[in-house]
Amino acid sequence: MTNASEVLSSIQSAFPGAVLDSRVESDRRLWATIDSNKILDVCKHLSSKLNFDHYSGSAGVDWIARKEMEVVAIMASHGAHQVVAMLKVKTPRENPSVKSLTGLYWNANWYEREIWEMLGINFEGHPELYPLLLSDGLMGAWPWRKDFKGYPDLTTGERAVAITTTEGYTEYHFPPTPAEIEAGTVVTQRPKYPSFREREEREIKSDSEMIMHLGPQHAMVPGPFLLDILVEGERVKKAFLDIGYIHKGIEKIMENRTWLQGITYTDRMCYVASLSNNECYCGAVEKILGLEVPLRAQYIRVILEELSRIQSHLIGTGEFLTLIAGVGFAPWQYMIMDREKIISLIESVTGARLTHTFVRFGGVRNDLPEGFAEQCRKDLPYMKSRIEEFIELFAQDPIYHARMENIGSISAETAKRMGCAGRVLRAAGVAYDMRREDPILVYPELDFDIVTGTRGDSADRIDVTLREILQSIRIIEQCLDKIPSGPIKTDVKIPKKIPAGEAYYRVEDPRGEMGMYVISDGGDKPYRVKVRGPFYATFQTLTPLLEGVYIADAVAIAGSMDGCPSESDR
Amino acid sequence: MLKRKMIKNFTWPLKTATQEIEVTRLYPEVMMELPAAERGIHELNATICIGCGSCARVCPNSCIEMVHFKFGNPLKNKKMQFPQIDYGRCMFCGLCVDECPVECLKMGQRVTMAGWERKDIIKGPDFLATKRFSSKEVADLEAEAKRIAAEKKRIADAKKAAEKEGAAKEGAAKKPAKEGAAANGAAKKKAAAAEAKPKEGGAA
Amino acid sequence: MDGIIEIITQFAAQEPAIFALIIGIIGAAVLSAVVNVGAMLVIWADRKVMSDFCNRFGPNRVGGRWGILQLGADAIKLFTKEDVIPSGVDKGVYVWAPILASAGTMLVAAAIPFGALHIGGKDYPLVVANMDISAFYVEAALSIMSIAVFMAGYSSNNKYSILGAFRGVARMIAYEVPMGVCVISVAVMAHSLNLVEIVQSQTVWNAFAQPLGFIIFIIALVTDLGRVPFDQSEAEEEIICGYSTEYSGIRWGLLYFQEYNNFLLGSILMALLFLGGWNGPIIPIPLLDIISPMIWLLMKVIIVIWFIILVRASLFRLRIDQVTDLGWKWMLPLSLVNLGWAVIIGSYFA
Repeated sequence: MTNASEVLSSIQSAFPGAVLDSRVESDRRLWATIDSNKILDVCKHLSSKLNFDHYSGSAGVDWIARKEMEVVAIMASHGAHQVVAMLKVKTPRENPSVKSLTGLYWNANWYEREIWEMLGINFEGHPELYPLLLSDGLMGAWPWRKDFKGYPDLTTGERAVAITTTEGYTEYHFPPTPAEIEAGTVVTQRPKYPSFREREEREIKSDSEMIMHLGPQHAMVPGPFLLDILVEGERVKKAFLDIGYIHKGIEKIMENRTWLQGITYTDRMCYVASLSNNECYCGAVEKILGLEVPLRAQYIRVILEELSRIQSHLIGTGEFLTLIAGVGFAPWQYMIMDREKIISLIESVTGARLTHTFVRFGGVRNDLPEGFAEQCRKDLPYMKSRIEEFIELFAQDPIYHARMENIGSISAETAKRMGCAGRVLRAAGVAYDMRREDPILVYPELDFDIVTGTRGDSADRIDVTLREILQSIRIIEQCLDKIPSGPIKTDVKIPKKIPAGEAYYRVEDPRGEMGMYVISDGGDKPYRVKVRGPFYATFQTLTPLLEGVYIADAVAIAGSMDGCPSESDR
Repeated sequence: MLKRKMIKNFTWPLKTATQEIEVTRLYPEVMMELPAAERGIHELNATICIGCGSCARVCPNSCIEMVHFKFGNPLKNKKMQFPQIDYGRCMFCGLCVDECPVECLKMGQRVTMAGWERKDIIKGPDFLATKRFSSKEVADLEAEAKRIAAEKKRIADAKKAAEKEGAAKEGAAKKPAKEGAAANGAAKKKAAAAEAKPKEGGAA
Repeated sequence: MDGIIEIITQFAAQEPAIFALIIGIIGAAVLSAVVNVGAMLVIWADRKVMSDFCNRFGPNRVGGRWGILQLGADAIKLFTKEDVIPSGVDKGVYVWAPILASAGTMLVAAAIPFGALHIGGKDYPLVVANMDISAFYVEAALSIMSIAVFMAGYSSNNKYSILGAFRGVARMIAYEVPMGVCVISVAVMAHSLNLVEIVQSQTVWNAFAQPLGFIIFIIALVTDLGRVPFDQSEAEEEIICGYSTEYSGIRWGLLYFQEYNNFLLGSILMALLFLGGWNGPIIPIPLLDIISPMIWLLMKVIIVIWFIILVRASLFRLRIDQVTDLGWKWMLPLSLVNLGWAVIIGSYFA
């Protein structure tokens, strides 16, 4: 088993002088500042020699006091070892530019595009640097920079050019400053996101083809995102994905709220997975503080997160059923009915049905109410029988198999390369689960299986989801047996100002690997919160999957991924 | 292949059709049973609120504003400031409840708050308060507060006078500082005794 | 009273053509009223029965606990809505599509027997136009809806609509042939294409005499009605609302209504062709014995409608290529097999 210090020494011996600064936090976390000229070589070395085949995301940080910017690439492995390497590359704040990792990792594309549009860091060698989340008009405002003060703000105020559109709305554009043009880091003619007409002109080759919108408002989408498909008859020839319709700037908002208030915003990234989001944020802060969570609180967290996983899976699968069967299909309503039981269980503890704001630094908000265990023991076996019925229903339905088998298949290799998360990855046969890879809370003491599929198609994804619910039920039953009595909050007084430090914390969200990178500069507010959402990772892989399928299959594939644009846009 | 018979597709809805409707409710007539932990509309115990404003400070949406309210406890809440909540903004996170130092704010099981205008769902302490003093009790408490204030003022005046006296004595007769210090000490003791009194009064 | 009848008989003797026209108009009004009220009840039943399968309440406010007047409220809403014709549509075709759909339904209704009255030991069928080829005619007229669907989709100038229209037509072509062959098989056994005679000839229900034909016909009927699992032409999760995406208000209401009209008429056709129509024991109670054939037909129609609603609640939607595959590769050959079977059985018993 490789551990962090071995990885560090391997890099140091292969590239002497490349590591400018390093910190081995634990066996599983390596923080290293890499010379910006050698980052590509180091990454190549990591991926080829040390099994770092999982590019898990990257974060951009603006260190305005040090007059530099940082790009933190988060590297991990799909099960070969459990080291997460946080590789930082520094670049001056004046004309920020770093090397792009898109050549090595396919899925670095979106992460780097996001950093480019938010911070203005140029990525050398990136194939398509055009806006991902922001609109064209906001380009050049660089909202993640610490001197950004709003829209249009005080610092970029003189650069903002107000344009009144034909409809009578006022829009602002931010042309690059002369200094930026001179430095050459910011492209004068920024490649814009192609408009619909441009796309039609460019892509349509014959009269029998047309581009059809699926979204942003469409019965298929779980939240607003635009999926344009180029169809010839009923066949999809190419798909284009455009996200950012509900970009809320949650990461930026959290920089302006106190540490405690931040919890409420993590809820709203994805309301069906709000407990995992709470856990991820609070866990990261606890890591900075070095807090020990009382055992009972840990069990309560695990129970509720698993309950939340069950309800998220149920509504995800239910929505998927409406996509391939119509809203009249009765079993999807049975899923909603069953979910109601789980939601009531969660509500009896947290007091809210969706946005729980339940996890606190070093504990939880409420203790389990009286009779909770009994209610669980009554409801969970019922859930189990219902889920088995669903599995049986899908197994014996020939129409379902005709519709779903071998639709949108991903092989294990492709899934790893594209950096999918959660059910998409596991359905392809890769047993990659944060509860095993990066165990938190009391998960190491619990006995459960990681469910994997074989074919990686849509039917497998649903099957994996349903069987994961069974595993969650198993975990909760064990927790109910083992849960000790004791305090639910740590005795340590949580300071208003969290000491300076940084942490990366990963949890298993219902949709897969969720990570939060939290930096504190010793103030009462986070210096930077970077969310690595699971669906953001999976979302990228949607377009290649849609080539060559039927329109109806495109809907089924998108549905089987259990999307949540709210979380991917943040 | 033999297992795939499509029978279950038909039998399951048929089975469900014979069952009682369990989840859907005829809403206004049949309300949902809410758990004790439910985070609904706030309940304010105006008799113990100290008007510190912690809730207003911690609120992520700044929907809490401290406003004047007549039926609170003037002994503990001298400015008579109580929270008013804008439910158009409130997201029911419950941080205000956690933050309250005297546990006077709770979230109850009331959830209906529809109004015709936006200002209708800005609910003042009058709507939120589940426990409050009657106007007579408030008047009594106010009188008590005035009495205490007057006493305090008297003591403070006495203290001031003593200090002045001491200073004058010091200045005029150049007596040793010991006495002055002793006088000061006595005044402090008196003040402490006076402070202890209103506490008892408040509890009563 | 006697005077009025006298005037009418005199008028009938003087102007037979005009009298026939007036009687025809009155008949058409009564017919459309009966069919449309029936369709409204079918819509209500669709919602209510679906809600049963899904463990919900369904309509439960307008018109008492059972929400029986919900449809009236919906119809009033649709009638009073603004009539929006989008710019860019092919206006003539767009406007005429719903009207053609209703006309097609009425054509079906004219030839379908709605039952029979049992008076003096004899059945008097209730049918407006008792044609010799009514079985074939009805089956053909049922698919006028598909033409209306194509008109609506084509004229809407909308990508979803045109896809819905294409899907609708592809499906209609694939399933109209096996459906027609099934009707022929029934006719072969009855030695007639007249629906009344087909009913009267069914001593054994055709459903038992030719079970294969029964199954093929019900699948083809569900396809013709465009209901799940064959609702590709308006699959809302894929192509929003298919052919009716651009319709709103009363025009949409008409299109929607015709689907249910067809649902009702198709179910009646099903009962007539395969379930013995109004055949059944006569209830030996005065007055009830007159309408007892009607009661039997009504029960059979209700069972067919209920079953088609159950199918909607329990099956996944097929993909359009799978639908046409099923139609051409399985339904058509099997229906021909059924035709052979019908010929053998028919000639053996004849």
